[in-house]
Amino acid sequence: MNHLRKITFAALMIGLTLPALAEDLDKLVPDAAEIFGRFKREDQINMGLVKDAKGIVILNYTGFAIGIGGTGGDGILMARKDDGSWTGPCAITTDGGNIGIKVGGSDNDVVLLLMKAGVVNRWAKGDHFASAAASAVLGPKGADAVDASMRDRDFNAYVWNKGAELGVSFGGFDVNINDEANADYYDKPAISAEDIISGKVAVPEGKKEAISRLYDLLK
Amino acid sequence: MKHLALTFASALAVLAPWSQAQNSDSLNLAGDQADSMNKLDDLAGRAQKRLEYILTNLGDLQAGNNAKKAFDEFKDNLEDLKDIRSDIKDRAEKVRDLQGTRIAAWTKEVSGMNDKDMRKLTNDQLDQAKADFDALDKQMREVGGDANDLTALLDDLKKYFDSSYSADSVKTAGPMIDKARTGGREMQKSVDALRDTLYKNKKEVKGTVNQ
Repeated sequence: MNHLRKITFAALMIGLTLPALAEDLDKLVPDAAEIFGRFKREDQINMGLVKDAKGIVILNYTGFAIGIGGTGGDGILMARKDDGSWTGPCAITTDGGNIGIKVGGSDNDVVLLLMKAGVVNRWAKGDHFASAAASAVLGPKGADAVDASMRDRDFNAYVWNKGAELGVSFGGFDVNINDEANADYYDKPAISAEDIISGKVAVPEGKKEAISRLYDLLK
Repeated sequence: MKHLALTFASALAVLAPWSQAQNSDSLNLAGDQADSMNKLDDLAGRAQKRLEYILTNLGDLQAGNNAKKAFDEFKDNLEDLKDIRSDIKDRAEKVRDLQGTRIAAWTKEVSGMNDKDMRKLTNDQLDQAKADFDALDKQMREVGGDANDLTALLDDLKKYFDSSYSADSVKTAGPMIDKARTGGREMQKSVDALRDTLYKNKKEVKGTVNQ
């Protein structure tokens, strides 16, 4: 029995401390398109609000510590450019706290519409989001009316768990920039998240067709 | 307490077959068809992801980014795509078969109705279901045809590079790589549109189940 307790404790500790397994952007971009495409197809996301968003975060959570205090997400951040198009993708992970997970589960997809440029910049800086510092609620669905309060929020959140829509809750969490994945994708060793989300660095020519599906879905 | 539990279990055993018998053949088949459409959608999503990997591989190949690795990954991803496409063809046939069986069962049920107005109402629903599926089927066949052409082109590129792979041959095959990349991008749009139609059909079929 004592042995079993030790194993359980060790398993919990691993779950609490392991960072999310970060993928490269060549995989994260198709994952993001698939996640967003499902929200859009099933009319779960309000496309009018997507058009107003200053940034977007698309994450998958596959942590096994959900419900006991924290997990990690793996995904991308993109910002809206002045001409209305989207910047290239910036690879990110999140650690600690919870985003969008109120009940148990082991495979959650999350889309966050970032409604303010300042919030986009905080994500790009790899900031810590304390629960009190971020206002987020579930965003309106496809056919729902959009009002000014929805545009004033930091985030409009959309969460999916194996076909079931979940409530949203924000604990404290850290955003980490996956510099290695960004350097590989853009073939620039010193690239920063700010370079990407400011639009200073364009998507490489060879990656344009692969990301076009995501851009088309965001229209 | 034990006696009570046994009574409850016996009651459940009696009720279970009775509750299953509440569904008509056509409704049971509609459930199977909706499940099959879900699986078809999952496969289409897997194919789209694999195609995006291939488009990246081709882009890296042309840009000379770790070209040998890009070519090796291209070959692996193409084989995976062909496997997934084979599963898609089988699954699409299954969806078509279930449509035929469901419509036949539904038609039989309608013919057993006595009231003329009731028969007309149900026949109208049946005709709508047939028309909606015919539109989906047409779209599936068109996208399938385009996917055959694209897969054949990707296969030809693989054969070409298998026999003569070098920076020069990549350059020579540039127009064909461009054609595959453009075709791949168009294919993604077509498949997303098809999945929209599939989802709407699935919702209608599921609605039949829930009635």
